[in-house]
Amino acid sequence: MSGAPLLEVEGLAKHFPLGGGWLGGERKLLKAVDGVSFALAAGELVALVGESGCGKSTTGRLILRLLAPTTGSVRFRGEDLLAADARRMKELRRDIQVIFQDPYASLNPRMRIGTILEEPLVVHGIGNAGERRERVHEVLGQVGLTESALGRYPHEFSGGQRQRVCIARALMLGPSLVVADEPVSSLDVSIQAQVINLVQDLRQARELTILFIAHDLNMVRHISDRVAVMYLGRIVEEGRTEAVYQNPLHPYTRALLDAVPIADPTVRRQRQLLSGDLPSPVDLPPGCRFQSRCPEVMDRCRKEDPQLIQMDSVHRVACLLHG
Amino acid sequence: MPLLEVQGLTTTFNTPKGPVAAVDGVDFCVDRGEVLGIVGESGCGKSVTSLSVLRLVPNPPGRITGGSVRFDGQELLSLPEEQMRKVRGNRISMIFQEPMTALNPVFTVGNQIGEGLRLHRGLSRHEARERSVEMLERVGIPAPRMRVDEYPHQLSGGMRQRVMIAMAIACEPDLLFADEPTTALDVTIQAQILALLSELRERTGMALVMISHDLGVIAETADRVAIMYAGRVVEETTTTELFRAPMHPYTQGLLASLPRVGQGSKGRLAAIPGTVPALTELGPGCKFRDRCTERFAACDGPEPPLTLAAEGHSVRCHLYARAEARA
Repeated sequence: MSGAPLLEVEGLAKHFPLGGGWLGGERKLLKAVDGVSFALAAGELVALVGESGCGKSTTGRLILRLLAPTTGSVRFRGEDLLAADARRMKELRRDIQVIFQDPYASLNPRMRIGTILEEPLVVHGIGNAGERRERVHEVLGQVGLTESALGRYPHEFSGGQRQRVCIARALMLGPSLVVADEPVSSLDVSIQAQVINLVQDLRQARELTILFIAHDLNMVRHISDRVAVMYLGRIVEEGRTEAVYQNPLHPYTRALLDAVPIADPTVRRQRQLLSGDLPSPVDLPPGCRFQSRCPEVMDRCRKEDPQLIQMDSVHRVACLLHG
Repeated sequence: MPLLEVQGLTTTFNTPKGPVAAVDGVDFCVDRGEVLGIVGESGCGKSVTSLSVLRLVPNPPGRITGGSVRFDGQELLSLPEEQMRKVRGNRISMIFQEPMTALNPVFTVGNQIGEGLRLHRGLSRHEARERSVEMLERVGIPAPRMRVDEYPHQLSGGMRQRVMIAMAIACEPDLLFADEPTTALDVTIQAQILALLSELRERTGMALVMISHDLGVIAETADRVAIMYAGRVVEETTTTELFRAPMHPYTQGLLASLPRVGQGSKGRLAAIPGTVPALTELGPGCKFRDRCTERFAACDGPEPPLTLAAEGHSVRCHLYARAEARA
């Protein structure tokens, strides 16, 4: 990484209060995200992976300020996003866009595609009607849709095409950072490849920086430059994608990679299955968050909370086995 | 004689645009103790196929309009409903994708596991409860004596799926349909459930139909695979053969679209162009032809039949019908 990062997240946390606490009783906290730090260099595609409930989507929403963090900071081009007032934030949003998982829920069913795509330009007061139309046409072509789409409604499109519309909408304002929250997981296998190819083409053509939130580890390996693995609100391992996949250091990362089914019947492997389920992120015990499922748990793990430490120039891990 | 023999199964749904065959002349068999994988994308008819075999298709709007389903020598489609009930949950069971919607929220898990045992095996309430505890233990639920009295909402997703498996295998069925049994689960939990299913299969010798869109899951569990597209089986062979030498352009496309390690990373994925067609929009002829990279003149003619193109390898594609004609 050279120069200052485009996005810098430090000590980000989101604690949701859960009932109780009004008359006496101690207030319980669900620590969805609990001290997450990472950075994205311009042009990088970083994947945030983990199982449901690990806090990866919440992290994405905190960065977009769709949720207010409990603590921590998010810097975009060096500017503190959390300190920005509403007006400044609106300006910044031109540069930071989002693609959601479910293209059925994230498009207004009563708006035509043309209106949906024009909307960001209208909201930000960009261009006159003619210029906006021109811009809509331009972006439409880039995502592989034809002009006949403009007068139609979302329900007339398949999931893959709707996701193209969502991608087009995110690109209308020419952002430099896109947060893509599980952009292909609701799509069929044969369509996923189309959308992933589109994301890669656009990334190159527009020098986009992308935070790619996903749980499909094969896809992440294919598309990302770096990967951060989350477990119960923390990043437990982070590094260059190939470094992490070829030499996973955290026992959780190892188990996660080991659990991915391989589409090759000639490969038969002995899995080390993790026992149990993800513990509740409320009332976590002291020590390491992974202790209850870790095959290599030691006494120390029940007392010390491991911090993310740098193993080499491209790889960080939070595990007491490593220092 | 195979345990289950499905021939020409056709299930039609009434839609505002007229009747549509969601399952259209599907043939397959399952031998005793065998695992058949059924693969396909949304809307290909894989779930309706399993619901049809169990005669669970909601009517209206759905109706089985043709074909035969022979189970252990007995035709199921003409069986009186009362007789069918003795097969369902007893000799053929099913587990569904979403355990939260498939379990009844107002009954304890013990009650739901025991229901089949009391109905089919005539067990008393007490015996059924004891057996439910045993089943929970067998599917790897910790503290089964406590869990047996809990309700579905008190369990995690993985545990609910274990409960559903316990329910399905309580009567030791000869055949189990598993419809996307791990799709709603995280990968570490998926690995646990798949390991559990294969262990149970080894112990009881039951046959399994594994329905999935995940080729990885299929590669790891199935002995044979049937690929479905738009209500049809388009290819069927052993798992090894399918992954080694897929014949149908759709199957080839599916396999090629998977990201693979060492594929000159950051390269492009080989996507299948176009989208899965709506069943109402299909004309006559091969249903895949609009997306097919190998399309030629014959494809605009009548739809090709499912033919044996190599030993133990059938495919529904004009490319191979042509080869056969030449030979």
